[in-house]
Amino acid sequence: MSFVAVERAGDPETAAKAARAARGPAGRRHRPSAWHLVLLPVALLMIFPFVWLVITSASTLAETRTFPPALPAGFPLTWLANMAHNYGAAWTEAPFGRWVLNTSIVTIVVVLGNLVFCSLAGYALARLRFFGRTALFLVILATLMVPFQVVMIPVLLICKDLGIVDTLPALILPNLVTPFGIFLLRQFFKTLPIEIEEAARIDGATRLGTLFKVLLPSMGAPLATVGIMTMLWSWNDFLWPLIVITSQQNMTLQLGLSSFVGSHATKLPVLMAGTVMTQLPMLLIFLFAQRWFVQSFAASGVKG
Amino acid sequence: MAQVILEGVRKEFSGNPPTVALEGLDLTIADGELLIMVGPSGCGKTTALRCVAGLEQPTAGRIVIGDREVQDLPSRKRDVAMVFQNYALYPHLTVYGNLAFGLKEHRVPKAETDRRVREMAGMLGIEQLLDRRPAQLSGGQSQRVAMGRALVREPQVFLLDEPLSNLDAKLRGQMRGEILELQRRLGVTSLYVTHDQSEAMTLGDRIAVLNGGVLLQLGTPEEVFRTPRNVFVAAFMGTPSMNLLRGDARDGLVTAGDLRLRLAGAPDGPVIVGFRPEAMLPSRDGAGLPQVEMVVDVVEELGNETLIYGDVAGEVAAVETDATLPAPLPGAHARVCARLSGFTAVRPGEKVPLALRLDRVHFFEAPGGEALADVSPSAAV
Repeated sequence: MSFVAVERAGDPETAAKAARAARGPAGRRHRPSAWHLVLLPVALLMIFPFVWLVITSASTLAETRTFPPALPAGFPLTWLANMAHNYGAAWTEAPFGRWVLNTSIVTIVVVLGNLVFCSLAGYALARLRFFGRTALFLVILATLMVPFQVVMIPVLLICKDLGIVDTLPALILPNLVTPFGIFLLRQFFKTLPIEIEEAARIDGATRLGTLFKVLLPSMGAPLATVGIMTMLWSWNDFLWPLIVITSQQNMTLQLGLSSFVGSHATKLPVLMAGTVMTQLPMLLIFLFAQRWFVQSFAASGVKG
Repeated sequence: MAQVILEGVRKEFSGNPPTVALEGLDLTIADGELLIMVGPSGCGKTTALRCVAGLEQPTAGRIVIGDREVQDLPSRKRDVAMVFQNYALYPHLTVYGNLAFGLKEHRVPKAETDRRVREMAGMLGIEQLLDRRPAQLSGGQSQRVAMGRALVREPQVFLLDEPLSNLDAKLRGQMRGEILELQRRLGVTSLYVTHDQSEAMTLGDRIAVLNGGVLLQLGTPEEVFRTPRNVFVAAFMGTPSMNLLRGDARDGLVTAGDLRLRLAGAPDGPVIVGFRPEAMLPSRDGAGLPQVEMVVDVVEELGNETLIYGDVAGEVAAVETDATLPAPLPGAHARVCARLSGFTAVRPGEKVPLALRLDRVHFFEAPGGEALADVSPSAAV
């Protein structure tokens, strides 16, 4: 047969494009510009509270009470000794390990739940034809506009009726699916060419098979967006745990940290040590998945 | 392999008012045949293909593949495969993954899948691309992968929806040959949809011309080209398209501008006279044939032939074969095209006498557009 692939050697333009794509945005190098004069001070301003957080966690209680504020004495050995004391105290004076476990469980389950349920709902709203589809979508969108403070009491009452108040399921169940995730994924499903789905159906896949084997694997960016946004939100949530959790045993990190704030005295260095440890996982994840974070925020239109 | 029968297939899309895409389509595709469905945009050809594929549910009618009635079965149970206009390759899978996807879904054993994927890749000359992803392929390569993905499953019916329309002209010509060769070799019953009538002419065992959801003519390329059953088919098939002039028949004499033709058995009243560009000859080669005088305004020399466009006396019979083209302006002169062999000395602005080959002239009812059967014209003396 005469099926000679004329482009066997590869189209040079395609190859160049692929090479550019492989280099990615990091491949670009900018020379210093006037913008840096503005951006650099802003960056320093943004990072200052975090630096001060770390410095405070390396102070003694007395040093945090001086005015005007000053750097703690004895860098670096005394700092390290103070840190060892403060970080140790955060672990021993409260069930910090338990809180880490609780927060991790809640965050992981909520993220997975959102990925699965928002995908299913988003797909249904984008592709399945059923009565009231648009109305349902509008209702879901409308809930995005209702502040959480408005619904938290009704949600609390529902949790009470379910008998899950002051348990981890109370932190998980109400957040397993979010209107934001549904909205975002629905929009992405809409942008996928329907022919890909039709090709999969003709090739023998069921609807669910098409969703899980063909559509979702090609939706890395939007799924990462939903995952990252949900993770940040769930890890940092304070208000809902404050309302629904009372026993120290079931607290999350954010809620637990607040127990370091006493009504008469607050052990600031210990509180700051706990705060650093609470933020550390998010910081590490950010460092490793920086590209995804930036893409996520850009894609979702949410301000960081 | 199997024959495909469409019986009274009707498809209505809901709306106000509902759109009728197919109006009772009857069609039989023989076992191993390559049938081309051709027509302008919105004629219902893609809808018909999608009904066979199971991507659209016909409002009424039966679709039979082999000995199974399939109109109520989901796509995956019909044993059909399809090549899409935009290829629709799975972006997250490699070429190998794309080819193997359907086989995996049908639970073909791994070793067998591997053998078939590599065999198909060899047949299409894409072995070296198996590890690439669709984003790294050129248009022609994507096209081959899409065909491979469809054929590797050895389906009963192979459906192609304008598969070449995203390729450049040169590659399109090459791929056309490859599709034909592959189809002949595998002997798979195929339904090929295109709006490109030259593709239809060169590829098909038979051509089905559709317009407005209705099958206008079904026949071999030669039948459809030489004996169009109505004025739409006549105007749609062929490039440049057939020249159509308004005429009038009285007592067996048809007059269209300067043309006067004797036509035994023609009913009195308006008629449409049609002749393809190649039915016209330089006047000196057509002694005794009816003559027309053309005022040339455009000369296109293509090397092996020359197309000359210009005005003759008379009025063009407008047939809308493409809604995007402007309708010809009414007037006392009709613009026609003649195809002459080789180079000519004709220049724009000249008056050229041309002769018309009588055996290549077609007559259609006006306004109905149906071909007048069994009429044989002769030159009016």
